[in-house]
Amino acid sequence: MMQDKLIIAGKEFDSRLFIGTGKYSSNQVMAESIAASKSEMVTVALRRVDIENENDDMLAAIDQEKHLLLPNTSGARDAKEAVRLAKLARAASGINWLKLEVTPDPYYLLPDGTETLKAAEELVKDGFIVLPYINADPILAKKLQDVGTATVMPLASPIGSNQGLNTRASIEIIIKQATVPVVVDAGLGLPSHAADAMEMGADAVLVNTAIAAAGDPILMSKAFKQAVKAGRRGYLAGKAAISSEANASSPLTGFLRDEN
Amino acid sequence: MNKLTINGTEKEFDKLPSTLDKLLDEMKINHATIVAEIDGQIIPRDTFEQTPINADQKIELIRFVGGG
Repeated sequence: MMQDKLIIAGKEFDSRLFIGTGKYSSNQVMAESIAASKSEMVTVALRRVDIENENDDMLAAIDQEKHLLLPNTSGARDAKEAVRLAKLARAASGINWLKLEVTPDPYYLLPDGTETLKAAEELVKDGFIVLPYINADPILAKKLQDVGTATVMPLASPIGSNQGLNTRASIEIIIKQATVPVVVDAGLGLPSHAADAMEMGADAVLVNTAIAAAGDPILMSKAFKQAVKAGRRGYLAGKAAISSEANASSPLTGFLRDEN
Repeated sequence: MNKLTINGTEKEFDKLPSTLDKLLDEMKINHATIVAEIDGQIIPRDTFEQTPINADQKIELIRFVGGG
């Protein structure tokens, strides 16, 4: 197959599947699922240390030579909190890549576009490589790429809902207008959803719950890997036209019957 | 009063540790996996040893966890 690299902020990726690290039953299952996915970018969150109990070091389970850490700003309710979390993440990891998310609504976890744009502008100026998580809003996506974000990451459906590509029509517009890679993030529940997004021309997808909460996360991780590849190849191949009538695939001559 | 607010919880000490790294040792927290903030200022990990601890500071100790 020809070279088909995903390039974000000048960095090349062979895999177009990004993996979240939340909700796994153990660090061992998480590590094996990440390995099975062949993903090169994994998201992590920042939280307070539990000062009463022993804290488990999940980072030790991630091979940072193979997987770029993408810290997120989950828990931020406005731009100010997101910027604070971003700076802490950079201090903690030395990494300036950031999944920017601002989700003031605790029930649907939908992102606040205004605050996200405000934080993105500040963080880009401060040297961060910003990958913003957004609602599938084509106008906002354009504004974000204009202020210098490295990608746009529209949601397929609410985080962890596994509902699939509910925002298809808007994501199609975002893809058409994008000058930066489009990563479909949140809500992809099945490998077929991921394949669908890739066939539409998304540059990558980010998956967490659908893998971590599957009956067999490692097997599901492999399935997503294959689906993302299949979808991407389907997109690159160029789809055949849709017709309202049948078009025979077999010749319409030489039938084994007598014409009368 | 030898009081610190650590991660939102007030803690009293018989004697305050002199520096951040000593505070972490006393609390049995692995330095290598955390980032700290004192009164809103981020403290780089390589300066924990030189960072003095004073009464009534608000200290945040933060680490990476699994997330999407």
